[in-house]
Amino acid sequence: MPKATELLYLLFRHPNELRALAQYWVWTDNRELSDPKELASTGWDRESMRTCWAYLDMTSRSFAVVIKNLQGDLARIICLFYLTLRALDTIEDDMTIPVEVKQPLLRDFYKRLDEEGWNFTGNGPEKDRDVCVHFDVVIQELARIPKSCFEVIRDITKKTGKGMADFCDRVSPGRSFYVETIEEYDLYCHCVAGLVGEGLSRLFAATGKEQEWIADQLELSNSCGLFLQKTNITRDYREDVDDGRFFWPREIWGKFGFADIKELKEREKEQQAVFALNGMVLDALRHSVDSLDYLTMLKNQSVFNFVAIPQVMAIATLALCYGNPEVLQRNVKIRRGQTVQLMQKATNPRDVAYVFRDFGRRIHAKSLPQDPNYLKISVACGKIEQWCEHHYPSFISLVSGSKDGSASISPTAPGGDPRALIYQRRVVREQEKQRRDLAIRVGLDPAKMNNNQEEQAPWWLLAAMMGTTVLLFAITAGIAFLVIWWFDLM
Amino acid sequence: MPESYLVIGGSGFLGSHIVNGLLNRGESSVAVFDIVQRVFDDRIVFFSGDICNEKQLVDAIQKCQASVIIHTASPAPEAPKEVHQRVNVEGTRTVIAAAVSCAVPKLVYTSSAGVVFNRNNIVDADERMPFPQSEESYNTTKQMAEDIVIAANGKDGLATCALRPAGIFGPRDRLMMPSAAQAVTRGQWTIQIGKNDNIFDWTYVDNVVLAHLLACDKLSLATPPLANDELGNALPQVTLTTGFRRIPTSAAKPIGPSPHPDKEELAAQEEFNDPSTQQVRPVLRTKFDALSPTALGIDYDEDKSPLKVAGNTFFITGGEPLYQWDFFRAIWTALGADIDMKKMWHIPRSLGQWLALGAESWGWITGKGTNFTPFRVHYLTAERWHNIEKARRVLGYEPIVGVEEGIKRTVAWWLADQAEKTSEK
Repeated sequence: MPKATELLYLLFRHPNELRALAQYWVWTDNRELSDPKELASTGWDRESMRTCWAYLDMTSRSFAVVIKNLQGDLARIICLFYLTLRALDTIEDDMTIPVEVKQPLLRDFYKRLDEEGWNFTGNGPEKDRDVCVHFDVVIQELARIPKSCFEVIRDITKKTGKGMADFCDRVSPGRSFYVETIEEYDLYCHCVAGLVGEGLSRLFAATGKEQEWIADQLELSNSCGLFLQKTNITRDYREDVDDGRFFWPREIWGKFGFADIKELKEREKEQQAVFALNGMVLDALRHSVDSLDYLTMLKNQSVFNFVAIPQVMAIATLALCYGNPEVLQRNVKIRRGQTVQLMQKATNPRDVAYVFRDFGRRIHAKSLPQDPNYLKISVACGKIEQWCEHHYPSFISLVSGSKDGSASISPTAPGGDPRALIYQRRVVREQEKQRRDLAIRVGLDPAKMNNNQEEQAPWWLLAAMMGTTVLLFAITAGIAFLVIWWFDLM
Repeated sequence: MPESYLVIGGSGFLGSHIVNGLLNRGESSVAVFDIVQRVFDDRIVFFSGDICNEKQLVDAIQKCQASVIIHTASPAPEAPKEVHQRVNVEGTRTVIAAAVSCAVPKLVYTSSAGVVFNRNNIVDADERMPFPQSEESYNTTKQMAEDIVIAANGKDGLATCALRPAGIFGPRDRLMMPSAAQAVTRGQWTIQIGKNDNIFDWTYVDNVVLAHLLACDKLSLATPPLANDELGNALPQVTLTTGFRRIPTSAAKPIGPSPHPDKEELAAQEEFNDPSTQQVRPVLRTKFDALSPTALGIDYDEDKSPLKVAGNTFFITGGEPLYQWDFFRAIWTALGADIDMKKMWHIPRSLGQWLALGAESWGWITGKGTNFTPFRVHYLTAERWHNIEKARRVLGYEPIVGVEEGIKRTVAWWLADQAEKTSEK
């Protein structure tokens, strides 16, 4: 629960976010892992798996809920995948382990995944060291997941461990971790996050939750991972620099007149440092449209939410970081109310795309013509705009509320969007085609039938109307004649 | 046999670039038909004449034995109504008549993206869009001319197509750059009308030239349309301005800091460096997409496949629409303006329109005129961008100069040109 002051602040500054928070507490039904009906897939009846779920809560503040809400077995499998990578990450991050010990540990980590009872106690006071200390429970549980899934986890662990160990070489004594080029930066992000994306796609396919071919969409899977990782690296500048990790590639910040990445936090050249920061955001935005493409391919709702939520958080974080000198001084974070609001929107690709566009516009609204990347940012945000309007054209709105409860399409045209004309013509043509098909089915010549309907119908109507009129007149006249005749006779 | 080209309107802004494009790719037979000669090159044969005079046109076609006509003559949008009518409609009709009577096999017409413009927001417009009623005589006459050209396709063996470039800019442009430069001298960069969230297509002239050359090469009545199943894979994004970088994957990645790369890593690196191994992605189409199976089944007239060059129209843009004010701010900045965003005056669009109406009336009363008109306000605040997938698929068109590079080249030309002019004085 957030603090009362935080709530009060929201009430006055961002009432919508407060509403979203309240709705979330009242309505959101998160999966109950201990539900007896779910035991087969959550494994809550086993001590070892309960420990794993507890580690998940402990290690990932943001991911725990979305992982738990995955459908069926997938939640448990991805929980174990997550913990495996968390253990690997904990070893990688631990600066107290000498490089010559760390490297073989990382490289061979995948071999431990089926080594019953293995654990690692050599960590310094890392925050997630418990996962390594009790890694045997993860191993125990990994033995229970389907073989195909285990193989995916092992393969990704092998590749990630190798990549981390390779990059470790840079941290030999006296040298600090430094990324020179954008190509190298991409590769590092691929090793620590892109591979996770590949692994997830393969797990979605292996569990039958998504189509088989999604496992082969390596570039899109990597893009999703790179988008998240680059956002974190951009946001965590200060924390990483203070810890002696320098992930921002020199190719991006070097051209702004800095000799060392640590100089970015000095206040004298703040404007240039912010331009460098914007360069980092621009580089992350390169993956935004791919991420939308990937989301559009997903079919399973729980998988969609799982993938989409971190992506919308990332674009919101990028919008917060862009042009914001605070990033160079401290760790900025999106507000909790905003997080909840975003989570509620991350349920379908259309809304996610519009979230991307809105934050893209916020980024663009802050850009300055003095920034050497001014036009690049404009074009990059323009790409998100294009994606949105092409895939989810705004002139089509879904209207609910027809009697049978189904949604219908309304080609409303705000400001007279001429695309509606294409759609209106299509509707007319579809009706014509239906009529023609019907005619063929009942054995009429469609060409003639059209003529009948268009030319003869009014003629018949006119004839019928005239006939009726004449008839009525005749009857009236007849009656009158009869009456007169009758009275005359009288 | 090499083609023989006749560029009608080859002295104009776009026309002169097309002539240069033809010469640069080594064409040996290039002729120009225009009122006055502006491109002087020994390799060009020049015919001076009136576009509405069929005899002069036939004479030029016969003398240069044209096998391809590029009809790119058009007055400026600001020209009077009568001139639009005469050149765009009468002229085009005469050109078609001359081409048919001389049995020229190919005619490429430079239409305009303006044919679908009537002060609406143009968003992701594709070639299915019907012509709207327009108030601008330039747009309506371009519509009529395009209809004449497309109707002539197949007539006595003549193959035609029409290209619709949007927002052409580049060296020798006499429309956009002068007014942008004027805005700098008048200090007009301090205001912003609207929210600047409208994206706009600006197309560097070289891209338009390329589209014309491709159209000349691919235009033929005999070529069958593209098969529908060739539309299954996604086209790559246009990355000219943002820069292309391949996404590393476990199958294709650079070696990086690996101390002892093994065979697998070397193979992955080779894959990464080979552009032809770029991963194929499925194309994602909704049923509103111009090339979706639904659209192909119902949105086009039955005997007219959109998937071939002959008889078709194509939007041509740089594929990188950007926020409208950004485009101008980038030019102003390149011309030396120091734009302080903190001191920007933000005027809502509706207020801007009223002010412009006032300014226009004042300009009319005082007889001074003004460039601050409601049309201009609309032009600065409307969305105007197009879908070029059809051109990319069917013409094989890929933009070659991005908007950033285009601005750089255009401003460099402008500054050099201005310097030359002042030194002449």
